[in-house]
Amino acid sequence: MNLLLSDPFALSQEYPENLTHTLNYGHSTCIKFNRKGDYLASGLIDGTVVVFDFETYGIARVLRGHTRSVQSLSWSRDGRYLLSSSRDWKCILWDLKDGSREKTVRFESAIWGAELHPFNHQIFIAALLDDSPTLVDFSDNTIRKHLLSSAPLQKDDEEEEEEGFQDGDVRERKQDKQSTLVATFTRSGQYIFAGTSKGWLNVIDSETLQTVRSEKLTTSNIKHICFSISGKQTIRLYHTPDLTYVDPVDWDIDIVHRFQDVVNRLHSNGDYDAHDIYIWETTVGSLIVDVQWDPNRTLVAATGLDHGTIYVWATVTPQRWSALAPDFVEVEENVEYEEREDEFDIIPDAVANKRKLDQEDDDEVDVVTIERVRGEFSEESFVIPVILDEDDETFDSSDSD
Amino acid sequence: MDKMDLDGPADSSGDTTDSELPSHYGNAVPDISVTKASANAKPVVATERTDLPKYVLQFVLEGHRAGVTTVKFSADGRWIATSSADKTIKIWHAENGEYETTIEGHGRGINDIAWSPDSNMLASASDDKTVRIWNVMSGRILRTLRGHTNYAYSVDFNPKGNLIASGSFDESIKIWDVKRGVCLRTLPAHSDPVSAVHFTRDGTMIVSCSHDGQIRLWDTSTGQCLKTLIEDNNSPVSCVRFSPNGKYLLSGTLDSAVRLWDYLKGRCVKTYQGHKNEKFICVPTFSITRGVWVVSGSEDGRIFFWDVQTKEVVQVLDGHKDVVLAVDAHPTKNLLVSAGLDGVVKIWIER
Repeated sequence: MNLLLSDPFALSQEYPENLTHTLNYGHSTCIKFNRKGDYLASGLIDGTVVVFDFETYGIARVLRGHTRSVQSLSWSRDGRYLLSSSRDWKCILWDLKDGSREKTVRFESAIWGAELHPFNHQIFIAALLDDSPTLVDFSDNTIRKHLLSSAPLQKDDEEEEEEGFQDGDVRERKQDKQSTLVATFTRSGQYIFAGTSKGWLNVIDSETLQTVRSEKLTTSNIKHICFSISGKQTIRLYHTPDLTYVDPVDWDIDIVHRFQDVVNRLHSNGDYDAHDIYIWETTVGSLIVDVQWDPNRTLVAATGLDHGTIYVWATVTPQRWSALAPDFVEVEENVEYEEREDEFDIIPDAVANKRKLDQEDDDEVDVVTIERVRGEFSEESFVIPVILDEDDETFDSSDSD
Repeated sequence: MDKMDLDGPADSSGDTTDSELPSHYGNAVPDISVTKASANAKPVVATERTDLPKYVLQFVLEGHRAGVTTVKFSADGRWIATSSADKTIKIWHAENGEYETTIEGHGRGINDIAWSPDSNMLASASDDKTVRIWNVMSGRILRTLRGHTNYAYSVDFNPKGNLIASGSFDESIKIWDVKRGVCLRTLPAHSDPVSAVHFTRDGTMIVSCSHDGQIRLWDTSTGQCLKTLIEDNNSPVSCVRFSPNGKYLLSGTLDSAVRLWDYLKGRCVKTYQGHKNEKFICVPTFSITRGVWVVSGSEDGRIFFWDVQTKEVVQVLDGHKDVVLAVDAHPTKNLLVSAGLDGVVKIWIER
């Protein structure tokens, strides 16, 4: 509700240019904001997953379970579940209500990354190193794995061998075998976009598990796919530093822009925002490993490769002095003050008060109905319950301004 | 130590000499002349309406040895917490008024308490300059928040339960992290003691008021002041809180008026009068379970109900022998609880 009282022009044109916070808890390799932007999950190099509360910049949950470094993190839509995948070949779905493990799924090979279905926290897609990408579904308490093809859909000849499913052997004769490095759901959850090591983008229907469309975008590996909020544009990041911004309108996968990364950053990730892709490059000394843009505020969190500390950039709004007195207004230039006709009239207090009280009678007040404020995030988002252990009292704090 | 039934309180807790109470009860505010506004206003007592509140006394809860400063229903509606100048907090069942437990630990009298949104924790602000967080069921202390340099007057949890705001006699507001127990921010809020703090229902703003007559709205995440409201006669504001939908502010001022403010327009839209409030902090509140009323205690021992729209006095409850400092309405049922300097807590019900 503070948006109602803020200056709209001040809000709209700001880039996060100030380093406001540094979060130090272990060596972080991967970070992800939840949908509302008030919690940040960070995966550490020893396998622990830490959830930071971004209202206090303190730790909300520490999740231990993985034994090797965390590869990827994915939040459920409501923010209650978190899926982490790790180099120990396991994916764990955590319930943030108490930090317990909801589900653990073991794979036969190393995992590149795993993403939850945008609407159903019991389905996720995992891209594996030595295996086909797998859609895992554990809706009815059984873990079912569906293997998906890495091979692109052939449109020209070869109609007979056009099986959407498996059979890497058949494909191998036609072209070199390729593996899927990254797979993610579209915003509606209806399709899966998978990027392969040969530069193909496969679009797979998530219900039928058939590849419906393939497009060759480049010759090098596709390392990362990320959708914009509206779901219409995506960014792909390649092994050689070359970002492409693609607009899949009407299933015409056209390359709309190409961004060339000036500095060679082999392992970097990029977040979609057409204005600000280069802001972080100039200010950080060491190599960036992961950058995340807070979905609802102008705030960017980034992890560095050397120390694994998380740097938070945000905007610093200056104090608005006009708010400190009820009738101050900030003006651009001098305004001539014109006195009212009755400015200096002397009205006895009693009459003035009676006049004021009478004016009040016309107003209709509604103190109960709740109205949605435009611009605010209004979906239900899970609040991680604060659990204070009685053992760690003698947190005798002092004023640490 | 237990609750009693309706026939008259057996009484030793009634008399509280001024020497027992912390100084701000008796003389928080020096001289305020009664303004003409209250002398003029004739509160219209509605008699022809059929939807008037009809609260009657249900339970009398005794046990505090000094005046009771705050009384609050828990968010889930099962408990009542009362804080007192006798340095304790007592927990009672909301259904039947039965006494549950006492929480002790503060060094001096307690001014304000607030429930956490999950009803498991209580925060209390006391004259010993600390704010403490307690586990309600075990009564044990979880965190002690030190930092204020003078009496802590008022405390509130944010709706997510991870922040606490506290206002103090040292003219500042501090925002604390519940989990770590550290102060995240200090707002240089006013130039006189801060008498109340309250969060909006989405936790993005804090409202505070002070003896200098100002009401200020603050942005929680940046700590900036967003707006200041002041009434012409500068009378000290003893308490302020947001309406249930967060669009209006209800303030009690020491000129015997309760005001409803629309903070977007920046002016007072309703004034409720008829009670007496010139020295003490009588907390006004909304009752919205059936009919929308504004309820406040008064220095003559009575409790007033006003209709929000028409400003008429729709019910007056009599029963306390001394100033009624605090009232609170149950979140879902037609219950009202009141307490005051006589140390007695009363539960009123409307069937």
